[in-house]
This record gives sequence, structure tokens and C-alpha cells, in this order.
Amino acid sequence: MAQIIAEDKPGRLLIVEGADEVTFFKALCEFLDIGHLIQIEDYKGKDRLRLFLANLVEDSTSFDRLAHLGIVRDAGYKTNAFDSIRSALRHANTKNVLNQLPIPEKNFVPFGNQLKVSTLILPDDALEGMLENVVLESFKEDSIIACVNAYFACLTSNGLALTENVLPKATMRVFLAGKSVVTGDTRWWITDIYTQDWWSWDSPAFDSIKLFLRQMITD
Amino acid sequence: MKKHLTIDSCIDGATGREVEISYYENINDLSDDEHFERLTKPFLAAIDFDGVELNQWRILKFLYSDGKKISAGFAIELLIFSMVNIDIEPFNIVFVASSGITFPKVSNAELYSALLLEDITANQTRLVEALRILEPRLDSITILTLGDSNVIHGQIGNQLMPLNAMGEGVERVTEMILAIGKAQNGILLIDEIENGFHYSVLEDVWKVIAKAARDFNVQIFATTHSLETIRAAHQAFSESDTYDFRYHRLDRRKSGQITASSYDQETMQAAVEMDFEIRG
Repeated sequence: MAQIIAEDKPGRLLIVEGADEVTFFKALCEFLDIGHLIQIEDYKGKDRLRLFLANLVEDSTSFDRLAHLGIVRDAGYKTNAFDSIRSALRHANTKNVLNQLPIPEKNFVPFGNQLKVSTLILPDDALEGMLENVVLESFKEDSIIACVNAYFACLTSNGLALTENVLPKATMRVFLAGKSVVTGDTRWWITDIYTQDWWSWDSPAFDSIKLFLRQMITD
Repeated sequence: MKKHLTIDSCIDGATGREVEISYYENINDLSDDEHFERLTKPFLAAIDFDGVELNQWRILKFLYSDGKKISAGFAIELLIFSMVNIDIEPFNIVFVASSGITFPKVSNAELYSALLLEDITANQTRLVEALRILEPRLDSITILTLGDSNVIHGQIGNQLMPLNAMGEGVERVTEMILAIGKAQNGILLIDEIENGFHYSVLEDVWKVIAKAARDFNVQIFATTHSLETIRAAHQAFSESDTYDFRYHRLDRRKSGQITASSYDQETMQAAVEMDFEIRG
């Protein structure tokens, strides 16, 4: 049990959908050497974002410490993720009139004065998908990707097409299975890859996420 | 949506300045640069709240005659409570201190006697059932006169024992149930409600207190520093037909001011599930 923002935390709070995202963003922040400047928490699924935010505004001690709130959400499918975040913010603002969260007008752009809120939609607010799409984009030059795509094409031709909302995670698993054959590494899941020798944060696929995180620490 | 309220007085009690009052259904109708200030009592007395839904946050916006704008937010239920105070309608207020002393100071035997005179069967059953949470072997309770004192005793099998010898929890539940009866149609204030109880019985304690409060039409304001107590209350009221419970958290702000936040059922449930610190 903990206060949402503890006394020794920096007041820049990045909230993400789940445990996989926490691992990803912590690893990236460490790589950028800003891990000590941003607190990363999990709001346990997009449907619970509004409840997390409601608790944030009710916790006045944490709210007083908050300088920048970054909200990360998957774009998902056939939904407007940015509108959904704004709706969650509006909901939170009905809970405590003394603690009002700024509601950004545009995705990615920090909004607010003393307290700022910014949003990051993955893979992009113009695309459908999720964090895995970003990671897969960083692997697009890897020779294994062609094999993985051929595998899913084969499944589809045999009437075993995956729905779009599960395809990115499935693709990631198959890619990592292929990687384990190449490297002799038996790790299988996205949370394990950031410490591997073959992992790189240098891909342009991560550029906008890096910019988003830098925005959070430069206000 | 915006509508004007009927106002009898438009004087800010703090500054003496004239104000115009507007009423907003939705907090989002306010712009970001507006700030909030607490209402003063003269405002509260002047507002017509007919038809306003309870348990909803509302905003009042004040426009001073010199052009300065001020907004204030509060829960309607709290506001109406404040208005009751202003109305100077006499109503019952009973206080149970953390030490277990009840004000106005009346002995438990006297309080119990008064309840028995009112409804002997219902009130005897109510107290016995409440005490069985802590002492399941309890058969009945009775008042014995010993010397100059009247003392409530519990019967377990063929033995009689003063309730205050059955443990601090038994004594505390007795005080609370009797105090609720004393505060009928009024308000009961309980300081550090968790005192004397093992954490495992807190949920049941809340349930019996809630039932007694509904039966006697009493609103209880209880303070606590205990997270287990808050969570137990949330659980107990979640299992009741109506969630007639609010947790008001007090925080000392950076500015030095102390402010209150009110958790509704949904927010409280999320706090429990996400394991957030909710004590102020």
C-alpha cells in the first residue's frame, strides 16, 4: 500500500496500461538516464484509467506533489483513445473541485500551467494497435520478421486468421520464439527482451516516445 | 447548463462585498483559470436547493461587483448539512469520545433503560445481537443494581458478568448502540471509532452500527486513523442494500490549508483494489 506519489518521488508521474508497459517504460527511462526523474505506475487496463485518476484527485497530498502527469494508452481498435483519456480526466475532475487536472486539447502536447498533463497513444494516435506494434516496428529490418509474417500468412490461408487485436502480441511471441532459436536464449516474453544483447533502443520507432518522455522532464 | 438561483442575500460574509451567484450543473463549464474558495455561511443560507440531487458535486460561481470572479465547489449533501446548522433547528447531537465517554454524560444503564422503555423487545434484541459479534456466547443482558450503581450485565449460561468486564470491544459496541439510541433523529459523533476492536470484527461492527443508525434515523460522523477501519466500512456498506456511507479524507496541503476529499463507492473500491494509501 502506498500513496500514489510518495514524498521522495519527483512529481512527474507516467501512468501506463499494464505491467508490460511498466517494464518497457522503466527500461527506456533507464536507458535515457531519466529513470530517477519519472515515476511510472500501472493503471491496470484502459477501463480503469478513470478510477486511477479519480483516486489521484482525491489524494490531495499526492496531487500537491504532482507537476506533470503523462498518460500512455494503446490506440486499440475502432475507438478514439484520446477522447477516451479526455473523458477519464473529465470524470476525475467531477470528484474533487479543489484538485482539477488539465484536459489536453491535443495528443502528445503537454497542457496546463503549473500542473501539466500530456498523453501518448501507442503506436500512434493516427494508427490502430498497441505497444507491441512499436516494438515490432523496431524489428522490421530483422530477417526473422519475414519468417514470422510468412507464418501468419500461412495460418490465414488455412483459415486460421488471428483477429487484429491479438495479432501484435501473437506476432511478438512468434518473433521471440524465432529469436530464441537464433540466440539460444529461451526467453519468450516482451518484458524480458530489454536486457538482451540484441536489443537496441536506437530504432526510429522509439523516437516519439523518447521525445514524449523528455517533454515530461523539461517543464 | 446554467441557471440562476433565488438569492435573498448577495453579501460575501468574509469581505462584505456584493456578489452575483450562478449555478453550474457541470464542473467542466468552468474555465481553467478560475480558482476556488470556500463558501461562507451567509451564502449557504441564501440558496434555494429545491430539486437539487444529493451526493453530487456542484459549482457556484461568484461575480463580485468589482468584476472579480470566484468559484466555489462542494458536495450538496455537506452543504445541506451546513444549512441545517444555520437554520438553528434544534436537533440531537451525541458524542462518543475515543476514551469511551459519551456526551451528554449519561450512564449506559440509564441509556439502556430509556431504550427499553421505548421498545423493550426490539431494543433488547438489537443490543444483544450487536454484542454477539464480539461475544457469541451471550444469551441476554440485564441491569443489576449493586450498591448505588446500576450496571448492565451480560448473561452467559448461568453466569452474569458486567459488560465492561467482557472486554473493551463489548463495552465500546454497547456505548455506540446506546449512543445511537440517544441521538435518535439527530447526529452521533464518534472519535476514533476503531478503538477497542480487533481488526477481524470491524466489518461486523460497522454493519450493526449502520443498522442501528438507520433504525434510529441517526447520521454518524466517525473519525479514524485506521486503514483497516476505512476498508471495513467500505466493505460493510457495499454489502448493505444502500451504500449510505462516505469517506471524507482530510489532507494538509502544501499551502498549509486542510482540505477534504470525499470518496464515493466506486473510487473507494478502486483504491482498495489498487492498494492505494487513502488515509490523509
